[in-house]
Amino acid sequence: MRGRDAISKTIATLIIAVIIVAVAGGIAVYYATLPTGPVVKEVKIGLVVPLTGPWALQGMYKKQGAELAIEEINAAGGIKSLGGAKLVLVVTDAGTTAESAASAAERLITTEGIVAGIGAWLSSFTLAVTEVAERYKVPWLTLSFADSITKGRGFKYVFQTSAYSSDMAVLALDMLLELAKAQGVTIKRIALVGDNTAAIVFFMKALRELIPAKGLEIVTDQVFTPPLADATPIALAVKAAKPHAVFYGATNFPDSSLILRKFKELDITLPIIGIGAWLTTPEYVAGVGADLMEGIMAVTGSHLTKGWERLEEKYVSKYGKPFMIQDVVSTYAHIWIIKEALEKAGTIDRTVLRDTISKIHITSGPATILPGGSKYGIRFNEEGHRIVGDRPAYPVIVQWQGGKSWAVYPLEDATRPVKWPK
Amino acid sequence: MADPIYVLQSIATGLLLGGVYGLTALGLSIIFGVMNIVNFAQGDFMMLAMYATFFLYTLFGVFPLVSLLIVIPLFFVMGIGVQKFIINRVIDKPPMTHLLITLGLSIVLQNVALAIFKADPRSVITPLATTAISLGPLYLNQAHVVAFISALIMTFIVSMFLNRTYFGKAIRATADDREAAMLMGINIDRVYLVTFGLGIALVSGAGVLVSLYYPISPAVAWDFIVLMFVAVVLGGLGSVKGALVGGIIVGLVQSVSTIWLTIDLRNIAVFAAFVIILLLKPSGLFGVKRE
Repeated sequence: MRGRDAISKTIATLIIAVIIVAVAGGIAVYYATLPTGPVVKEVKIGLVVPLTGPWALQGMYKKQGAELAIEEINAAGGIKSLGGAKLVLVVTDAGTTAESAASAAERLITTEGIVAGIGAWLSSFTLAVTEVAERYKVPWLTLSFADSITKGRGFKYVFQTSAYSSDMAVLALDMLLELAKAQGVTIKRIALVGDNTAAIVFFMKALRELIPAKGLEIVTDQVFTPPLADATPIALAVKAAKPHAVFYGATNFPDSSLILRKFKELDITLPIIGIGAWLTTPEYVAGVGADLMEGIMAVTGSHLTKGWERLEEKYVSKYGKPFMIQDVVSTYAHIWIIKEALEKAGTIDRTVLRDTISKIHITSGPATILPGGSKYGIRFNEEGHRIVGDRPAYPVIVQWQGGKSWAVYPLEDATRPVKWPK
Repeated sequence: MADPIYVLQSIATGLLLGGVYGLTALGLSIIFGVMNIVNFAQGDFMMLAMYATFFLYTLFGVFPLVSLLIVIPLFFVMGIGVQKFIINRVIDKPPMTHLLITLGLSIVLQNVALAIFKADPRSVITPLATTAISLGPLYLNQAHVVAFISALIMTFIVSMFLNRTYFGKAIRATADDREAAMLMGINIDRVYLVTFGLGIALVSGAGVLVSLYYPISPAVAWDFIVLMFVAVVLGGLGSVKGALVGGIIVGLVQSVSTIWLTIDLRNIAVFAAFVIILLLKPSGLFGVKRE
């Protein structure tokens, strides 16, 4: 209508335009400042390891490795693609049986909301724990050696970073024979001493075929159920069999030191090649004696290798242990693998994380400390086993020299040259 | 064909360990012989004695053989206490009740130990456990030898007590015929107290000796209780000589069987021998037929 109170058409249009712009602008600003998705402050990683019982020492070392890595990652700003989310370690005791390990894993997964998990050191426990992880679809990393953890299992969520026990057997036998030949020593009679846990079973099973195939003889085959209370029958049998060398698989420090001390008591001095990092830990110096350990070799999933001395210095000053072994190294690497995967995935969705780990190829950074990692990067095959180039993951052979266990093989990773074991 | 030195060595080891098994069985045998009670918690008192030895050694530096002087009297008193406040309440009840009470006691002791000491195995580490005396071609572990000799001495002392002292005869009289003993003026209550105390004291002494060479954990009773029972029944319930002989047989079979069987199966050999001997002599080697 026309009149003195009517607003002119131009001014009305102007006012409407301003209102529209203001509202549009307001809506735009509102949506622009909304937080994108759920806010992640911390990412929980589970660690299921023996903290009590015969394998408690190994659990302690794994925990140290995990803590070391998490400290580094959080100090450097956490997971950047998740807005600087910090990693939090949730540890639970696997106990002394596969059943206790499996229930520990189940409790951890169902009550703590972990994004990924690591554990449980002993292959027999790991087999049970990874079954739980697969069922709940939680990505899981392990340093355990037993072939059956990933080979032919059809699991999607389990990632095994160490070499297979059976491959370790091949290498251990070849190494022994090569060294013997170079030394001019005859090896014909072999003693097998091992417990009945999964990793050792696969190792010994392979040896039982390889040894006769090479024209050698197994003169005694001692299998025991851990924990071992009395090493006398085993030591007596080994002494009576008069072997030239012993392949050894005791998996825990109490059993192993009992057997080695019994060997000493009965004057048994033989080249010993063991499978597993339980034979490489510093406690042997006090428990058995550096001179008894001299020359003893162990085939392991990883160890402190050439070029990583600065990390060992950091570890030594933080934990007071004299040197760094597989359990620390591999668990450290596992945390870094999870870190790289989280960065890449940008989400804590466990299925996406699993897919990321499966396809990942880490070519630099602390995760490459695993054997072959710096040259070939860190990758997994479709079964979840780590591969190096086009071969399955290979082990590091460690030897005790001068009261410390050193990497002696592969040559490019060795920190000391290998010597004849006895 | 097994190497003769190897066989001899196994026999020697079996003998030494058997002597100690005999001592562990002795307490069980006396308690059963006199009170008709099968004490399932026997092995757990041994476990407690092992922990006592461990802590006396690691915290106060008391050498295990010396701690015998502390542990045995202590456990004698403990045994009296257990008899007075627990066992005595069911002494006249049917055997099933005795079984359940001592079994319950065993479970309680094991789990209390587990809660306090945790599952990690402990060892009393002395040079004895890792050095051997060489006797010709044989190696005799020093800890085994010391334990064996101590076990024999303790068995001898107990035998003297039961045969030469008045109270010892009172105990044997009660075992033979409780009613007659009461009629002769023997204080049965006191006999029971001393018997149970003695039984626990003996197994605690065995625990001290065993900890010289065996790792200690809350469930260690399981490794011994079955062997104890076999030794007692084999030797004849209530017989001191029988417990010792039974123990030695168990030790020998366990050790010698490992020449041919894998170490995990050695207790099966013990049970097989047990069944065979009982088939031939149902009341045990030195047992008297009881009703």
